[in-house]
Amino acid sequence: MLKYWSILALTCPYISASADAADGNSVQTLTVTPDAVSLVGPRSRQQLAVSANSGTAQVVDVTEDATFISADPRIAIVEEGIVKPVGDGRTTVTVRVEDASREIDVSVQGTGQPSPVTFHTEVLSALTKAGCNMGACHGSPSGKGGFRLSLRGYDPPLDLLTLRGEFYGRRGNVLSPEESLLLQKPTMEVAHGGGQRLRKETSTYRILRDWIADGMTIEPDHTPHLDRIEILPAERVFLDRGTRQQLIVMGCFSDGSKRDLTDLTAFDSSDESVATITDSGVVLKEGRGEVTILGRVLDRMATSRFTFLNDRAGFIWPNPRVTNTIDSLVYDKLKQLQILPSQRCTDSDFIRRVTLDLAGRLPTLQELQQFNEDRSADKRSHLIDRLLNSEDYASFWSMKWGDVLRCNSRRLTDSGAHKFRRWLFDAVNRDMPLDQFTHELLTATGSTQFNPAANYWRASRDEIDAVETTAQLFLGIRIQCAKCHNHPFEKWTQDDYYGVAAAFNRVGRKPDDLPDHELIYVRRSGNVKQPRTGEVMQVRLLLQESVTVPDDQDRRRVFADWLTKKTNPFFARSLANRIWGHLMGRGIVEPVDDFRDSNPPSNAALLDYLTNELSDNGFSARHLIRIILNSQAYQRSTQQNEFNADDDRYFSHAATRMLTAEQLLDSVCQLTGVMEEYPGLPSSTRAIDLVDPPKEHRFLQVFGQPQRELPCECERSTDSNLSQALQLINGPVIHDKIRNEQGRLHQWIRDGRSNEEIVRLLYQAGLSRQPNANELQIALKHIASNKDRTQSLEDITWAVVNSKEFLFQH
Amino acid sequence: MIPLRSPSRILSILSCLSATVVVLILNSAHGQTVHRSESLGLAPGKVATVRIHGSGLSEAMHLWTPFGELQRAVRDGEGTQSADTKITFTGNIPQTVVPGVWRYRVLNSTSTSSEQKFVVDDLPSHGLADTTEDQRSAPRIPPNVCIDGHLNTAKPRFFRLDLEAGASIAAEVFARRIDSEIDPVLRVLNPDGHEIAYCDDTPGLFGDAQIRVIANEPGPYLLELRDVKHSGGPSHFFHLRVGTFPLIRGTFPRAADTNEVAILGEATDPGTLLRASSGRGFNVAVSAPDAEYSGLTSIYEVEESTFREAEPNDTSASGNTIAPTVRHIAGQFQSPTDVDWYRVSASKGTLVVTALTRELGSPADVVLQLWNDEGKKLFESDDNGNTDAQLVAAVSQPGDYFLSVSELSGQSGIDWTYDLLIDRDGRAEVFTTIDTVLIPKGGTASIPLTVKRIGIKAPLKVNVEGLPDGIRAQPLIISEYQSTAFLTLTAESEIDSFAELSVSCVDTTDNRKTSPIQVTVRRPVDKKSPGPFRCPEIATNLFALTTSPAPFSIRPDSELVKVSLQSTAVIRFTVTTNAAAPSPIEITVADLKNALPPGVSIDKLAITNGTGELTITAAEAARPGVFALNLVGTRKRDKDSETQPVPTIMLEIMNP
Repeated sequence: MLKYWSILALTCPYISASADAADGNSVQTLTVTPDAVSLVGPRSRQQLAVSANSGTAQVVDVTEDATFISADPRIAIVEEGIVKPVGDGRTTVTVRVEDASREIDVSVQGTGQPSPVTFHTEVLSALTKAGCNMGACHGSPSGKGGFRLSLRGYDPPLDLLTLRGEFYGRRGNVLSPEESLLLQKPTMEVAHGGGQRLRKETSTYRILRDWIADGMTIEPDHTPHLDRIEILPAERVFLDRGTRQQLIVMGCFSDGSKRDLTDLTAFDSSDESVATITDSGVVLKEGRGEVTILGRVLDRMATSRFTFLNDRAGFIWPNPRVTNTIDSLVYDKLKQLQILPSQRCTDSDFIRRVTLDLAGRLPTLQELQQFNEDRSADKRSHLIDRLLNSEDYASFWSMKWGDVLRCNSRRLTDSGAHKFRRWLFDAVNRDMPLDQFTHELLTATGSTQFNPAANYWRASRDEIDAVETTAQLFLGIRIQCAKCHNHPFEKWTQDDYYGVAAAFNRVGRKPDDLPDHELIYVRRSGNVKQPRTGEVMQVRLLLQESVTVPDDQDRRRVFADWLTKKTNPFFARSLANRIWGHLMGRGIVEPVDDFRDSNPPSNAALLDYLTNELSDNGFSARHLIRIILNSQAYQRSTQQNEFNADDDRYFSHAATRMLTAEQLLDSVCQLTGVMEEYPGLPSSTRAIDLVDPPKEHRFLQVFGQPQRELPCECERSTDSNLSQALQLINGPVIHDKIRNEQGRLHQWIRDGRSNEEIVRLLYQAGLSRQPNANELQIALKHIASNKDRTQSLEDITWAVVNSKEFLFQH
Repeated sequence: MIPLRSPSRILSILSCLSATVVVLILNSAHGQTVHRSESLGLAPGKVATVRIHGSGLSEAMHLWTPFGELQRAVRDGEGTQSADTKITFTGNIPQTVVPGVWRYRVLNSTSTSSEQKFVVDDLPSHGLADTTEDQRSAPRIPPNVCIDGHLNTAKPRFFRLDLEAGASIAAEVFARRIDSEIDPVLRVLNPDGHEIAYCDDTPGLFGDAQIRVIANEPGPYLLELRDVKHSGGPSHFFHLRVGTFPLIRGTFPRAADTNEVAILGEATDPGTLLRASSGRGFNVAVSAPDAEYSGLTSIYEVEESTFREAEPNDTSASGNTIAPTVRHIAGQFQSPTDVDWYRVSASKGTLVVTALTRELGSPADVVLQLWNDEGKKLFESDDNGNTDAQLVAAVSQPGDYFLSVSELSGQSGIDWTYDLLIDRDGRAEVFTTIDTVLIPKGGTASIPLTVKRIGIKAPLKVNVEGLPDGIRAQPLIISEYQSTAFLTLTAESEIDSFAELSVSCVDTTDNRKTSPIQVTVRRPVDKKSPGPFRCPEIATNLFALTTSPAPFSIRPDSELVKVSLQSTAVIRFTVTTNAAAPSPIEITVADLKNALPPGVSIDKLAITNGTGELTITAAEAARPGVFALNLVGTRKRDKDSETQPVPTIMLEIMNP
């Protein structure tokens, strides 16, 4: 146990000491953040956060328990942990908790100077903090109650006009600010559909009141603007005693100054079952786990991460086998969170799982026999390699790409869809590096007849679609919100959105002279305007400056070059996460295409490692898949233990997933030996080979086959429903295949196999294992009790198909 | 470059083979639809058996080809449903016929099928076994073979090839090139069942596929042929070639008048090159030293000498200078950024540069731009639509200009070729929407011609070549003010005849020397119901055939009528009818744009039988000149009406 704590202490500077240490609960030293305060102007303030160090490096937040004594109240006072200016000068504040104390310096200046409220930084932040301009209230496109604000203040000129000018200026009463509608409504002095949003004692109220009193002015252009914000502390790990943390949000301005903006910051918790956050920036523990707190001031954001641990009685780290770095990184997290990994899965579980994951089908009886008879230590690795080099792998994984690249005949025509699917198959089969794969798609030109990759630009008909599709597929971000306004929860702005659109708006399309095809080319003119500002946008590379691309060059190429660089902060990361998600049933960031500050990775170090593995190895998907599949993390059992039963994000056990629609249908076909007939396609066609979702295939639709209209994994429904149960229990697909006399079961009967043989074969073919003694006995008893042997064997087949073990990947 | 033998044109072959006019037995018109053909022995110097599948075939008599007719072999199942859908022709194939794509039609006494295509091949032919639709029972095929067949929906065809280690085998499918609906895919599986080769589209073949496989191990290899989207049906036919022959994708230039072209394909040292005309151009059969059989391609024939692009010409300064006498330029896009520049002299007027790419099989889509010597772009081709590019420049200052040629989507490679036709004094294009004309015996049929004039106001004189005995084309000049006209053909009453015609126009403007304008066939496309696939190549052949006698005929007494301004002229017509109780026949202006010249009017005329006179009046506003006057006769019978074109009359309007 002590060993574990010492490891944690090394890795986490704020780690608290063991609760059972002899002096663990007594405060020995205090840390005050910030350790010096500088206040400028009469309305300035500084939130303090006080941490107590107990004997063995334990850190807990004691801001709430601390007493603050100003040495000179004529200079500064402290109220509820907030230092406020009184008069110019220097003083100290003594912070005391139990017997420990700490003194910090405070300097105050400019208290006699006018300090008008700034519209951009303070008024808009106050409105945002109060929730006035959120999407459900006055920030909706049509506003509320005749009062419309831009969503979270993304359009300051519009808001200024609205606040000052609309309704003859009735919203603000400069002579009697407290009687302004802008204050009376949110304080419920006048009826307000949105309820009480402000209280008079809060700084947001004071800011709005003072701004109105000052004449609702706007600050001069040279007023320093907010560059970024910082949240303190940025990260902290708590043990049992750590249940709260006061946050401080510092605004960094364009003149180099820093100011406390904690009271103007809107906070969100990524997981309220772990921790909540108060308006004043206090994180409160709700349960074990990790949580990210997102702070927003206008369009500036920052995050702070917390881990809340409880010592779990009886937990002993078993030092499980490590195959590769993936295991080390998964174990680091599991150890930290005291989650015990499950046992290694059985061989039969493994062959079934890995065959479904790579080839999209069940292992054949022959494969099963070969694998079971293989006594070599690395037989799992051999199986992985064999499957990775199979055409089934290319079929199944090109189907996955086809889903999100919207390979469907409605968009691409029949012929286009077939050719595009084949292009995807070739790319996967050849293990085309993913950077090349993406680059070829994004810069494709020519006839879709000869260059099927150009179908990317048939599926994506305009630059708006292209921005959103490309961002979601290859950057892992959902940037859609920024089309109409700056993203409310993320850093993406309208400038970003339309800057990326500028990379895609010169794609020309014209009919090819061969039927069903189109010619994609690059136009030399055409611009994108930012709809709010009217500015003609240059190509924007996210988190970088815009670039000017000469008219004779393909703007897409500039974007694709940037996107597929090894150093791109999004590309390899999002693809590595996507691949991990497909294999493990959950991304390290989940959903796999929703990277954002407020949706952090469950294991950042692991994601970093996978990202580097992908980019350092020629963007080979096969390489990444191989190392993931060879890891113990992948080969864990789905069986949970008392220490990981509640884990659904740290990969301590394998995830149980229902087979996809295509996997399920193919598995039924494989088990019964009766292929599904798809109109217009050869009888050997499997569901995973379909280039296009069949128009009327009830079974596939019921089990969630995507129609390929969205570039999102989410289009594949994973919900279970009654129709699925009906299909399985008594649907025509299952029924007809089981009863088909050309099927496998009837062939086995014709071959003269015994009941036991057939039952064993059914178990192996469907569940990749032998029946246990009990199962065998029940099955044989059922057969013996029925006059119609064939029917009773069909019953057993039906039971296998309807077993959870068959329906789920495990 | 490869030396070619001197060209032998189609008409010379035709004149040899069609010297004897076939007398057809008159019968009721019978609609014939051909779906596909399956041939055995369709090779130079061999006796061919061609089985035609279709409908309404029971009365078919001949299988017409440019190199002669094959005769109905056996009246197999005459009068049965089978004979209606499946018939056989046989005949000798002249030794001089060059392997490649040839056109054919199935004729009965009164009608013809639409134009079809098949492949004359020097490879041994082999029938298509039914078992080819099952991978497990794929039949073994000889090492060198060609097979005609078709695809059923969702049924690929499989062929087994027993190969020695190191054996190199070529496979090629003709589908798009012979107007099949198949977008073909070729795939080869090795003895272990793994795919070792796959080809969907080979550039230059209109979407057809070629593949070469070198066997790494001995054993049975499987060749799969299918449609890319697994479609099939009567119009999904193919000609498969497998064996030792060079895979040829085309020539450079694709259009040529020269005996020297470069081969695009495997035959770097092709040995003897055979050529013979097949219609619009000529077939080229390429043999190679290590190949037993020929690679097949064709060349589009142009009259003009060709200037070939010479790199480097990537800037206006290094642009190739084009002599004023040169009309045809051929080039290739060497790299994705390749832009070819040419210095072109132009006089005041309209400079037209027309690109030929897709219609000749090149996958290129060119952008043409014209610049002045100060580097200012003056004109650019329109890149909308799916036709090849055309640049039209109104030149106000005579002098040198710079023409840049680039590939629209930056594609490149040796197959990305282009051919340009430069018209320095405007350009006229004449086309028709039909490729078959049935002429009633003793009657008249018309071929609608449409003229597209670009910066040119020339009267065009129409010439028809290939007319057989008994069929006559009325003289026709399409005046500079007319954009449409009927070319009328009349047939003698007692003669049965058919022939393929070539129609061209000549600019009759004094002192202007221009090349003949070939009339092209542009079949109208209904986008909602596009009909059977047609290879988008240039078509110039019209087929004329006599058919059942006309219900009546109208003959003017003169082919040329002169009328002065502000005066009238009279045309006398003779009507012959086969009706016992004839109804009046009304002669009116044909339903054509600009059918009557401005300022000209005609009186109404109705003739019951015998003769009648039609008065033509030229008002003061009429323009002097020669015009085609297209009239039509209509006889109403109860609720129905019958029409017959009147042979075109040339109307000359003169100053008083």
